[in-house]
Amino acid sequence: MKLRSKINLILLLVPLFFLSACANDQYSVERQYWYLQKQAGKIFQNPQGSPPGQLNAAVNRLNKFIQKHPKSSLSTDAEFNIARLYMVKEEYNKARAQLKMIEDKYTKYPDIRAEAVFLSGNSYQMENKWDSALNQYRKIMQLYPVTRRGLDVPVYIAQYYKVKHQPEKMIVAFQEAIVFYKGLAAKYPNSPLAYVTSMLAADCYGANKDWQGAINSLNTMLVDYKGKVQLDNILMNIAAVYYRELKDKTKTKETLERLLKEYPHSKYIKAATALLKELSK
Amino acid sequence: MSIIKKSYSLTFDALKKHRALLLPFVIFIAFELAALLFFYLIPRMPLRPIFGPPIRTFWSERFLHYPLNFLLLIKLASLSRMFLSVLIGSLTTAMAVFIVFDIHNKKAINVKSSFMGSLKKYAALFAIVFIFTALFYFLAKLVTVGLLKYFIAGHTKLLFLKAGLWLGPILTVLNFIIAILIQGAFIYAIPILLIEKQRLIPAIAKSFVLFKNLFLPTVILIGLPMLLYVPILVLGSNAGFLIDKVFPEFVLLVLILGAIVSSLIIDPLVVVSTTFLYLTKRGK
Repeated sequence: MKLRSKINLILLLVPLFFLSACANDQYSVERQYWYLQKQAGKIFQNPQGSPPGQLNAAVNRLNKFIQKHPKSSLSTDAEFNIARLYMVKEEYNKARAQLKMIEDKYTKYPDIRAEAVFLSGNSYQMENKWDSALNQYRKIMQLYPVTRRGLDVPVYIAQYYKVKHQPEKMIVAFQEAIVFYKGLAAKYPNSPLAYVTSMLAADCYGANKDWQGAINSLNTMLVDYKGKVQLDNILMNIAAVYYRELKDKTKTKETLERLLKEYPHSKYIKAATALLKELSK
Repeated sequence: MSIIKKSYSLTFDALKKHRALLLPFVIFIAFELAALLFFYLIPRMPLRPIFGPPIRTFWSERFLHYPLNFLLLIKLASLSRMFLSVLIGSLTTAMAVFIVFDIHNKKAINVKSSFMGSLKKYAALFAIVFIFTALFYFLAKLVTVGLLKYFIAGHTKLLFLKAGLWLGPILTVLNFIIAILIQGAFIYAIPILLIEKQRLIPAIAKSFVLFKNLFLPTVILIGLPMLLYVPILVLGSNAGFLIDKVFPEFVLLVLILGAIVSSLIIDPLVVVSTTFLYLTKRGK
């Protein structure tokens, strides 16, 4: 190829290369969405001060984005953002209609559906309708238990009662959460989910200050998961409960010695040794 | 002061009368802007499938997405400038030194011969700029890591000043001083190498001696133009703020402006003025 032809080819390829960057790729979709989020952010920052037209304009733009990019994951986020915009503008019925639409649309995605129901519950909470909110949260526990939100929501309910200074209801909610988590652990035995839910159940015992229940739950895990996963964190937790809550120095020492013996390379070795030193004083 | 005035007078005069003197710096900025554009386009097609994985491995997936890619762009631009300075800057600086030498000797400027002359000494030029760049990078890192470790260790103050001040404006000033001192120590190595036809190590050694003898004028000739870069440094260190409050592409504009200021204003002023200073001293 002659030099002139080579130069012509380069001159043709260079603009083509840069023009290709103008394509409607994932990056440009992200860019479009970022600007839409910035506009919506103005309403989120000052929901009372923003004029009604601003909400309609933001919703319209988000809807156009969803229509234009139906397969993008950002469209799902945009759908949720529309609901959130209605919520901050206290248009709760519109928010719930949007969330119902999301729940009905994503039949194959339980995590998305659970999130939609959770936000719907939040909208009732914002209206001070706790019973209706609770119905939504219980719906998540029934229909979408094995989702991130499904695992969070029992503790969320108990925390609500704690914040509202209703200790009796909080204790009941934590007990219900324990039943829920243990039920999941029994349904999916020896799975990573069962491990997570067993830990959550132990946490709930702790939140209710049922220390013996927490220790029993953790001890069951030591038996169930022996040789399957690293259990040094569980031994450390048991030792901490014996030491801080039950003030049982003998059991604390026993547990820490077991930790040192079974997991000599654990990241808790330093803390365990320090605690043993403290106990021997 | 008269020596500085004279150097600047010769510099501005040369830049005004001989536009060819700017050519080496234009060549460098062309490479620098192309690299910047390339890094800006990495998160997009068709570059993403090829160059996205290294970004993912060395930094994070999030830097391949809008607008966080602009945060990484600052680091990539700085790294590419360092790389280009060693690879191409060494050559273009040498070309500029040859052209200044021709102007000083009232000879006709021959860009091609200055390029060929630089190319012959490329290995030594490469070594000088590499040592200088590596030294600056190492010292700047040493100071940054040293300060970070000091404050992470639990100290709240150093010389009565808080961590925020040390790791913010003081660190920038320290890096600025390190840059001036290291550049000053090596600045005469290229003219000595090319004009006196010295070998690499003697050229560097002579440059150190000359820097010691001409300490104040050299520091001023290097430091004064470099002050122009301070606003760019300030804007660059507040990229998150710019992305949020202005718009993400503003970071790219700042980087382009930074490249223009540093390659078309600071570098020509520093290289030409110090070369004139060297030639004046040599003549005496």
